[in-house]
Amino acid sequence: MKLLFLYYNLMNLYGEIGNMRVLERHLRDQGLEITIVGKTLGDELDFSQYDFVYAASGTERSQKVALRHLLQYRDSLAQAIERGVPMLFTGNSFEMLGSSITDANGTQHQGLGTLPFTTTEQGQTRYVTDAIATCELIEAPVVGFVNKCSICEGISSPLFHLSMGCGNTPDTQEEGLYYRSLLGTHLIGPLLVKNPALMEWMVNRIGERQEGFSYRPKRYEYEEKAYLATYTALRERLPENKK
Amino acid sequence: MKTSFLILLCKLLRLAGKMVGKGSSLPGRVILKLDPNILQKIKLPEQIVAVTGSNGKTSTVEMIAHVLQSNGKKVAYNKEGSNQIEGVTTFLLNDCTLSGKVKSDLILMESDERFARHTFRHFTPTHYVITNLYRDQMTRNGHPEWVYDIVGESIHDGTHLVLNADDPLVSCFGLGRKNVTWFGVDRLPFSTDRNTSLYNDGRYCPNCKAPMEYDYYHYNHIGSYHCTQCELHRNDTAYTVTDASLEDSYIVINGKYRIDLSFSGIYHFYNTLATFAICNLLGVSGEDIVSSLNRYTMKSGRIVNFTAGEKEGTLLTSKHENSISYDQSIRVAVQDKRDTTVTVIVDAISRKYYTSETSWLWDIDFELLAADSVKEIILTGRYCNDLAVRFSYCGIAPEKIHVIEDIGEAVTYMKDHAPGYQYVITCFSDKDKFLDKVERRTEE
Ligand SMILES: [Zn+2]
Repeated sequence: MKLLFLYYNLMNLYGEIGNMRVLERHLRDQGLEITIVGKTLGDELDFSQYDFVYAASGTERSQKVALRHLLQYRDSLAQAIERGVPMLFTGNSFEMLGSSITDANGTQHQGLGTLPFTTTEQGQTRYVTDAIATCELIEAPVVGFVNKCSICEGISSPLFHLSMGCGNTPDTQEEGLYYRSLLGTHLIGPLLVKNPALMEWMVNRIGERQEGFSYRPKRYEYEEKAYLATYTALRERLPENKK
Repeated sequence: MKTSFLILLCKLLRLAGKMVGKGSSLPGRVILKLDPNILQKIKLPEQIVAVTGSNGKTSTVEMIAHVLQSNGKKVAYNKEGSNQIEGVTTFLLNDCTLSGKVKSDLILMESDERFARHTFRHFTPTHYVITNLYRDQMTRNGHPEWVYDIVGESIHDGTHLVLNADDPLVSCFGLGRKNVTWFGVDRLPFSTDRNTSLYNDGRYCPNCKAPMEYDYYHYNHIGSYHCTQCELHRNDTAYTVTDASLEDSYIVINGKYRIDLSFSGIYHFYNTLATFAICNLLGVSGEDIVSSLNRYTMKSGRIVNFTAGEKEGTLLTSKHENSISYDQSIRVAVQDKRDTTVTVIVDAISRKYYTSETSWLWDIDFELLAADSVKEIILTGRYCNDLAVRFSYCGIAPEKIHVIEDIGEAVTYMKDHAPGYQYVITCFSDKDKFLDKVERRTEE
């Protein structure tokens, strides 16, 4: 199976390479043969070749350059999304999927237009916060961290419901987007590493693409303990749990 | 309210604060409430030097102050690390006569890169030293380009910039500017042709995002580079490390000023070089700078030698959420060819704010610890399991790695079982949790 790490050397701001390193091992643990392909600016893209697509966070300026490049391949990407290829877009990479991104100077950049939402950045404040979220994909709450300077409006199918963190707009608890097998979220960093249940969900979605796949349960002791340590620490900080 | 009264009030508050061991930001905060424009009403010295950057600014400010003071200048500086506007106000008013004149010849300030735009609304530095911009505390800083924009807002046209030519992002501050002095390190034996870090923030030009090319790297994205599209390139340097040795801990500046350092590390080379450059620009001769800096021991005590039971060791203070500072500490540990045990502690990610963010662990080159000389690894603190996950991708045999959440138990294990010389890598926020359980010997 081929996994694509898109803009691996441009959009990897928050240790997000961790997602790919750990995902690769977990898929191999399922007996799957895995090749990771890195593509970046200047490369030709053909999304029909991949069983999984990952894109991560970049600076606001890097994101605009990536977007300009990716616009050439929007149809190929849109088709892969419609076919249900599993994809994960963390941080501001998922903003590219909308119809436009307006930067802090007020310049509007055309988006891929895959989904009908818009993004607006500002240059004064960043929304930085730990996050706890739930989603319909898995039972366990998800932990993570938001680090962004943008708001996204018009997302009709959010991925997460937050009990801590900053949503697509500051006044909502709805976060990210979920469409077919595409997950987009501003929970940055190695999200799959931090959330073993979400990792398992993703491993299943990718594995299912191979005929005859059935999930073999496997324990990842340190990942599970790390998740519990973070979840416990964050839960204590929820307003209803503070003494 | 009268300025002289506010100055007196500030001095009294500072004195009272010192008696109860309180920090230095409170008096400034009170005074700024009473008169937000107080800093524009006092007479400042002719030279105002600001130092900013992701790493090394505290050490650099300490060394600059030391050189200037030992060469007869009266320096007002915020040595307590109170680098926000309130702290700056406290230290300036504290140094004022009641008629509102700052007594020192020169103001030297460490400027928190995030707050520079607020501080320099009140007064303008004559010299601005910018050491580097890296991935640092991104949970509050966002990312280096975000910090670049904020620092950029604080730079005034008349300010003389003293910039690290080897850092492409810092070099952008010099684009289209004349009043810039550049410093940098020539290609040396430890330089590499390829980027050896886990990420490369020099891959694309920070000015135009076209690919960049490097002649060599010193570490991470620090080195000699040029953009393939725009004019950004490493500038010729007026102050240059032309020779240096990591093993013998010395640098030579401009081919003739040799400075022996009390501890090694390329980091420290840059801090020393920046110190040399600004002090020379301020009129201290090269010879005098050399004699002040030779074998100078930092007061900030980032390197602590300790004894744990029968074991000897060194704690290397690094910064959580700052992969480059970790990389530097790891290099120190693996340069030691004796048998070693390396302990990494991540317990509280910051002492100033709360977060559980551990993404930065994936940016640190822990892979270097797969070196033969490293016999065992101890991972401890609340986030020891995050460390354990990360370390399971470093090519280190699992039986070498000991994951012990409780720091006290980890110390017991170290005393009883850990082989060789001990290196402990952790942050200010966590170092005393370890040092309180062992015997401190010397600090550098
Ligand atoms: Zn360029």
